Parts: sequence; structure tokens; C-alpha cells
Amino acid sequence: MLSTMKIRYRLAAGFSVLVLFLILTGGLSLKNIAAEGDLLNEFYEHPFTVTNAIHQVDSNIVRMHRDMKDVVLYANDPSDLENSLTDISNCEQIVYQQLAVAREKFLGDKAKIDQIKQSMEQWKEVRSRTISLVRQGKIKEAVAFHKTYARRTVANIEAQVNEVLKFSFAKAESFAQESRRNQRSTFAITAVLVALAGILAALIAFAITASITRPLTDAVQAAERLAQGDVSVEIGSDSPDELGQLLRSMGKVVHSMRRLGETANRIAQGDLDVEVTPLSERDVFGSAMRNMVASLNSLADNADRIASGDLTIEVLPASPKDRLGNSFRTMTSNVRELTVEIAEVVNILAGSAAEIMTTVSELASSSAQTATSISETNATVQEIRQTTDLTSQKSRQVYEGAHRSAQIARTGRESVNSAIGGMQGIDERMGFIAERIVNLSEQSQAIGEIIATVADLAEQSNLLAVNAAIEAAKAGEHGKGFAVVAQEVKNLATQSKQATSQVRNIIGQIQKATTAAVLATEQGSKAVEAGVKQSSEAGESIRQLAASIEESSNATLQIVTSTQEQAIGMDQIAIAIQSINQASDQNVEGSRQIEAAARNLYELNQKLQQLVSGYKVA
Amino acid sequence: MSQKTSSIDWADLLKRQEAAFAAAQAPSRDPERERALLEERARLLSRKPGGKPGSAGIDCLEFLLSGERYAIELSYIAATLPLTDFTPLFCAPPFVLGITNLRGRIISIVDLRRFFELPALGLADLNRVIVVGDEGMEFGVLADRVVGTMSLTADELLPIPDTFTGPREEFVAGVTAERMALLDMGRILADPRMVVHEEVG
Repeated sequence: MLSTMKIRYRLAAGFSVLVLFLILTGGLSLKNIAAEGDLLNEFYEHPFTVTNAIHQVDSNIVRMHRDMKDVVLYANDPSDLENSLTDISNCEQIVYQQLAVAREKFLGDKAKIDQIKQSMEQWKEVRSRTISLVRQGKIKEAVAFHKTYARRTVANIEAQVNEVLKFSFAKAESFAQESRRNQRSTFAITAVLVALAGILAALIAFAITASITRPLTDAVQAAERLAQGDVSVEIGSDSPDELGQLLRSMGKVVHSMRRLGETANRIAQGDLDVEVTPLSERDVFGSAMRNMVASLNSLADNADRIASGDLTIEVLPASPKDRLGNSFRTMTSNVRELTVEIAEVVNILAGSAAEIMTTVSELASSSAQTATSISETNATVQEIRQTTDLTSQKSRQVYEGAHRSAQIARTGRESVNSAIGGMQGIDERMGFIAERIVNLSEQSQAIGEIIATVADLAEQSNLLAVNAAIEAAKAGEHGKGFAVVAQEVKNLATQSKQATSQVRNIIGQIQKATTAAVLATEQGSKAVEAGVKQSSEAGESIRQLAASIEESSNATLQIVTSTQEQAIGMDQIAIAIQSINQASDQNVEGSRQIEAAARNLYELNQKLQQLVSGYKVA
Repeated sequence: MSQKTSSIDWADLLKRQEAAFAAAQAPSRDPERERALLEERARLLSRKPGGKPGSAGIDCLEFLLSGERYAIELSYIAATLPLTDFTPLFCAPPFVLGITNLRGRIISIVDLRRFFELPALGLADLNRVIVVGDEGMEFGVLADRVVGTMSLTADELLPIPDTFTGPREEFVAGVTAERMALLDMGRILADPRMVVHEEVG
């Protein structure tokens, strides 16, 4: 049913159903809320008001009862009495007012309220009796009366009031239960309706979406394949809606593209006989295909003419970007130029062939001259070889002489080296001598020190001798002998002193002599050094002499070797000249063959000229 | 070169060397000359000392001071000793050189050159001290060199020449012909100037 409708009608139908459901659900909910409100109102109007009024009645009755007690108790004070009476009448008024209110709103039996009123009337009588008793001063009687009647009446009233209150509370309880029930049922109904609406909306949405997307997916897949160039796809639909129309148009496009493709395939296979008719004036593909076939046909005609040898045609390209036309025109002009150039080359070739024939005859005569020169060269080479042998002998003798000289020089160098060694030995000995002499000098120094000590001893002995003489003189005659001994000691000291000065002189002479000896050895050492230096120089000269002899010996050796190589080279030259001789013979033969080849070339040229003249160029 | 021999005569040199060694090791160089020397010395010693008999001789010790010869009578002399160590004294007269230790006794050293106001030659290593003294006084006299003891006779002493002036004139007993001055030691020892008594504030 859905698929036969247009898409906009489908969407409208779905949304209408949903809106209907929404209105239904909303109306029900509103109705229930109104019912709940009525219930609440009733609850407020009746049980609540009645309870309130009855409570006030109760409290005022209690107050009145208390005031009455005051009246009985404090009857002595008239002002207090009056105050209490005023208060009682006020309270009574309020009680009647509230009873009227309760009677109006009371839902139960209104007779109960009337009973309370009657009881109140009875209590009023009791009160007035009591008050009159008080005013008469009969306090005791008043108290007794009050105790007997007033208490009973008030208790009666309290019982009635409590009954009314109990009824009102029961009524309120029943109202609350009804309200709770009502609320629960409303909630359940609303929840069921919302759930139903949700399910319905989902079903409708699914159905509508499916009816639109299924044909759209088919169309997208077909378009994808078409975009990839696949024209074999079949597209069609019998649906009356907008998508059906779209798919049928796409099917027509595919059909015409398939036809164009087949035509293009035939052209690609070289069949230019196809007939292409455009579908309308605006058919770009069809007209382009027709133009292409026409231009290909004209190119094929031109190619046929060139194949038959007519190079005079001019190909006009369809546009500056016509690559095939341009290439064809370039090819035609190039082939034309090539043919002209070939004709020219053939002419030049004819001239060259004639020249080659002349040159070949000249070559034959020059080969004969070459043969004569070669035999002369051969004789000269033989003479040079003999000279080379003589040179080789002489240089060998020179080499042997140089070798002997080098040996002699080596012997001379060894002698000089041994002389230098000897001189160095002498130098060492000189050093040894000098050291010994210096040692002697140092020892004589030690002797000098000892002599100084001896001189000091002699001096002390002298002094001692003087002291001894003094002591001897003091001893007088007994000391005479001792004086002689002292004198003798003094003489000995004097002699010792003289001896020491002599020794000191001798030591001085020894030191001078050792200094002279050291100087002499130093001079000797220097002389030895000079000798060593001169010997080294002589050795160096001999070495240089030996080196130069060695060099000339090597040079002569090289001369010997190179003259031998020269002789071998001369032999090789002789052999080479023999080869040249043979080659010149072969040259003569070759020139004869070239002559024959030149004649063949000339004939070939004639044939080429005939071929080129077959092409029409201008 | 090989033909030319060395100019040194090695054999001769070696011979001289051996001779020198032998001479050094010989016990005595010349025994006869030695004996002659000893005999001469004995003869001299056996001579009578004093020369002329009869006249009483004065035994004295001769010494040199500033190049001049002086003598002191032996009776005043205790000993001679080399001047090894001394301690200078402050606040003493210039002629007191200092004090020294003579075998445990402290004695003062007097420079007679300064006492006589003679030019000083300075202290040489040869300087000696002659210790003089009598019953009351003892000190050391500085001497350039001690020559030795000798004996003088009274007639050998000549009167003091005029060239001896100054404090020297006072203390010289007499002069010999060899220009040796005999000091009058008794007067020098008794001279009050020798006793130094000075207080430093």
C-alpha cells in the first residue's frame, strides 16, 4: 500500500497518525488531573472545615467551663465576676457561630449538631442558676450546684463533640484513599498509552524509511558502476513515484552510451564505414563521433595517394592541436625532402666513383717505388749492427777497469778507519795520564796540609821550650841542666820549622810541574783530535772517490746492456723491413681489387638513379 | 811516519823514578854528616854559659813588639802561652785588651803598644801572651813573637837614648847595643794606672 503512494503522501500519513495518538494521550491525562483536583477541593470543603469548627467549639467550651469555676471561686470580687461573665458570653457566641458552620458542611447526620446545641442550652440554664446563687451570696450552694450539674452537662457536650470529630476524621480518611486509587489508575493508563505511541512511531518510521532507501540504494550502485565506465548495467523500475522516474531516465542514458561504445569499438578496429546519427541537435557525443569518422576517412585517402608515389599533396590539419594531421603533414614534407636529397646524393656518388677509379691507378705506381726504398734501408741497418758490436766490446773493458778501482778505494777506506781507531786510543790514554797527574797534585796538597800541622807543632814546641827555660831559670842553680835541654828543644823546633818550609817549597815545585804536565797532555790530546779529523777527511775523500768510481762503473754497465739491446733492436728492424716488403706487395694486389670494386659501385649508382626518378616531387 | 821513533827516553825516565823511590825509603841520607852535626851541638852545649865571669848576669826573656826588641826579667815571668781565646772588657782603658783563662785563673791581658802609645800592627796568629806578676799583681803582656831566654850583664846595658820618649821612657831599665830594651817590670807592676777602678753610672 505504501509503495504505491508518492513519497510526500507517505510522510504526511505517518506524521498524522502520530499527532492523533499524542492528542488522545494528552486529553486522558488532563481529564484525570481535573478529577484529582475536584477530589482535593471536596476534601478541603467538608471534613477539614468541619474538624476546624468543632475544635474551636471544644476549646471555647473548655474556656467557658474554666470561667465558671472562677465565678464560683472568686465570687467576692464583683469586678472579676463581671469580667468572667463577659468572657463567657463572648465564648458562647463563637461556639454558636462555629456550630452553624459545622452544621452546613457536615456530611453526616446533622441531628448530632442539633443535639450539641440543645446541650448548650441546658448548660446555659445551669450557669444562670449558679450565677444567680452567687449574686445572692449563697456561695456554698452555688459551688454544690456547679459541682452536681455543670460538670455532668459539660461532660455530655464533650462526648457529643468527640463523636462529630470522629466521624469527620473517618470521612477524611476515605477521601484520601479514593484520591490515591484515582492517581494510581491514571498513572497506569498514561504509561500504557505512551508506550503504544512509541512503538507505533518506530513502526511507521521504519516502514517509510525502508520504502525510500531501497530503490535509492539500487540507483546509487548503478551510478557507481556507470562512473567506473561499466555500461552493461541494467536499470529499470515500474514504481510510479519520483525515484521510479529517476531510474527509468538513467536506464535511457545507459542505453545510448552502450550504443556509442559499440560504434567507437568498430572505429578502433579500423572499420571507417560506420554511420553515426546524432540523437538530437544537442547530442555532443554523437556529432563529435561523426566528425571524427569524417576526418579519419580524409586522412586515409591522403595516405593512399602517397602510397601510389604522389608526394605533391598538402594535408591541412583540422585545428592547431590536431596531432595526427600535423604529424601527417610533417611526414609528407619530410619524405618529399628526403627523396630530393637522395636524388642529389646519387649524383654525387656517380662523381666519387669516377674519382676512386683514378686514385687506384695512382696507388699502384707508388707501391712499386716503396719496394725500391725498402731494399736500400735494409743495407743501412746491417752496417749499423756491426758498429754496435764494436761499441759493446769497448764498454765491457771500461766496466772491468772501474770495478778494480772501486776495490782499491775500499781497501784505502779500511786503512783510514783503523788509523782513526788508533788515534782515538791515544786520546783515551792522554786522558788517563792527565787524570793521574791531577791525582798526584791532589795528594801533594794533602802533604802540604800535613806539613802545616807539623809547622804548628814546631811552633808549640818552641813555646814549650821557652816556658821550660823560664822554669829552669826560676830553679836557679839546680835548673842549669834543664835550661840546656830546653835550649836543645828550642833548636829542634827551629830546625823542624825550617824543614817544613823546605818541604812546602818542594810541594810548590811539584804542583807547578803537574800543571805543566796536564797542559802538555791537553796539547797532546788536541793534536790527536786534529789527527783524527784529518784522517776522517782523508777517509771521506776516499769514500767520495769510490762512489764516483762506482757510478762510472754502473754507467759503463748500462752502456754494455744498452748496446746489446741495440743489436737486438737492429735485428728486429731488419725483420720488420722484410714484413714491409711483403705488405707493399700485398698493397699492389689490393689496389687491383679496389679498382674492380669501384667499377661495381658505378653500376650500382646507375640503378639508384633510375629508382629515384620514379617519385613525383614537384 | 812509522820510521820516526818517539823522542822520549823512557828507559832513562824509569831509572830516575826508581832512584827517587829508593832515596825516599832509605833509613838515613847521610849518617856521617848527621853525626858531625850532633857533635857540634854537644860542643856548643858544653860551653860555659854567661860569657864573662864575675859580673852578675840578668836572665831575661826577649820578645818582639811592633818590630822592636824588648826583654823582661825571668823572675817576673810565670809562663808564656799562645793567645787562643779572650773576652773583651767594656769600660776598660784602651790598653786592656780583655781577660783570659790561665789554668783556672782569670787574668787580664795588657797591650804594651797601647800603654806605650806605639803604633799597633794588629793581631796576628803568632801573637803570644807572657804572663808576668809579683806578690801583688798579675797580668798578661801581649807580644808579637817570643824570641827566647838570654842572659845580660849589667855593663851591657847602656843609658836610655833620647829617642825614647813618652811613657816608655819611664818603664825602660836600659837598652843594649843591639837596641833591645829591658823593661823595668817592677815599676810597671807597681804603676797605679794598671789598677783599673771605674764605675759606670
